[in-house]
Amino acid sequence: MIAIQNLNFSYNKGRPLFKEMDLQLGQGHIYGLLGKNGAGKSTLLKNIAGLVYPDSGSIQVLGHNPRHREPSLLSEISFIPEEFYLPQVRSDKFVRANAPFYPNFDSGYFRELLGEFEIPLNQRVADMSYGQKKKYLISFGLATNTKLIIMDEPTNGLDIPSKVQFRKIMASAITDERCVLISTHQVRDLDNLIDAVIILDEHRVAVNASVSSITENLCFKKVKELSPEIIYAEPAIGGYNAIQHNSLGEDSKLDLELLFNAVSQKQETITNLLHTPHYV
Amino acid sequence: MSNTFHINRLFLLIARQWISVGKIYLMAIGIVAGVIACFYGYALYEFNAATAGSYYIPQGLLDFRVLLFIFLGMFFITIISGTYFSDYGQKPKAIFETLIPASRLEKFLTAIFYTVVACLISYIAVFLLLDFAFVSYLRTRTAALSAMAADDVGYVDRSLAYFINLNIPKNAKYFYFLPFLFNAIFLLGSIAFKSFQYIKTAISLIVYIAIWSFLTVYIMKTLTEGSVSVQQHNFWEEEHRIFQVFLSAGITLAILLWGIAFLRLKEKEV
Repeated sequence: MIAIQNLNFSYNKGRPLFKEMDLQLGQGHIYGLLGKNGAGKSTLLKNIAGLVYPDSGSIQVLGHNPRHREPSLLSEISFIPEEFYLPQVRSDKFVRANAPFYPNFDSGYFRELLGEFEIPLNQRVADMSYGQKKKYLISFGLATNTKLIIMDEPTNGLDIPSKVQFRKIMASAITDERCVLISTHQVRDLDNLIDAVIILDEHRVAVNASVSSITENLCFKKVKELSPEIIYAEPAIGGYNAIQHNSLGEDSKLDLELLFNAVSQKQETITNLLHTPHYV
Repeated sequence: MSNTFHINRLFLLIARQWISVGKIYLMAIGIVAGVIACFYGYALYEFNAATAGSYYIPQGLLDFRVLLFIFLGMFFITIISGTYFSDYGQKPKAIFETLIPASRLEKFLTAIFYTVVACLISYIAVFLLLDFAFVSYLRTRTAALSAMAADDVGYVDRSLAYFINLNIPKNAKYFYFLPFLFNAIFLLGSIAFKSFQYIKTAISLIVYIAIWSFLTVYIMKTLTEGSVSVQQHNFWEEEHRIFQVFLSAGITLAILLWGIAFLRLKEKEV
């Protein structure tokens, strides 16, 4: 669905953000995009949506070059930015003005989602709180039934019940034709939601692997003492949270935060074990 | 469905854009109507003062109309054009506008629709309507001056002519390109600048005109100083030829600036 090859991008000539980056994303997955501040998560999303243009390299989204901003591609992309704008109109007017541009928009599903998020239908969009606006935008984005959903920090500003609702709704929204790409700092919000992880580091994609392949190759466990098999560990109550090579084929639950920190500090070891680039 | 242009999508976009431009548009037209009403209101006050105990309609009572029509019109069209793409200067709004599934040509044509077609039609309609209302009212008041009018056939028509019936100067048609040129300049400014688009465009325009005027005068003075024209029946001696060149240059410049504005919109990054 998305194929990025040799992507080079920089806002300033002397400070490249991406260097010869390669990335491929497929349908039917929810990807979690992680990276340090300034690693280029939002910029990567903007490159994919055609909001900014690469210095060199190619980006193909559903067979289109997003740079051309063709309506047929834009009608298949829902982009929920971190900082968003909603006009000062009533919900029905907003839907009447924007929904016709999305041929697969499902107004019944939209109302259903607003109901799940507990957003009153007749409220003016401008009068909503920040969190309500965000949930409104997420609902609209999902109701467009686009093939690609891009979300930049979608859980920022959501309260705890809304985060739970968000995870539930996103899990039910994924289909075989859809690809969801979620960028976030709050890795706990992606727990049990994503099925693939992308980690950006040092101008490139350090990890692009499915959750299953990560847990096949790495074992996340709590240990009392450090041993030579441990690749990375962080102190925790009563011992250490650790990552080690899953040579025994043990079942373990992916700890995104631990993986992220491990990649930041021991990228080569982790990526070698994950055989990256391992495209999903 | 074509990715370059589709008429249904254009109409959808025109309807959609009303949400973002409608408020500012209505406010601007309201202010314009208010300014026009103020001028006519003052004329009415003068009329009342002058006709108290007299049968004469004050001379030049409505002479302000031509200048008011030109300058207020220019102000209106530049305000609407200079703010149309200002949303692109703010990231959240720019993302919202850029990602709406319509082609860049359709987005540009929608801009032209609102800043040229709707703008000119509504301005002219408001001006003529208010003129009609005020002048008709003044004419009803002149019933009291019927004796005067009876002595001088056409006196009221001359003194209180409707704006639409005023004689247009012969060479005025050569300047009809001006609203389009101003539209192109301010539309480009609203795309090119990230903030304070209207002010920055206006300042740029003033600076450009000042430099251009100075250079033209300086160069022509330097080239012709101490020389005498020996040509007779010169091409440029006929006034209308100069106006024609002016018109051609204006139209070319407007089209060129629209083209640049379209390309800037096409390549705008968020």
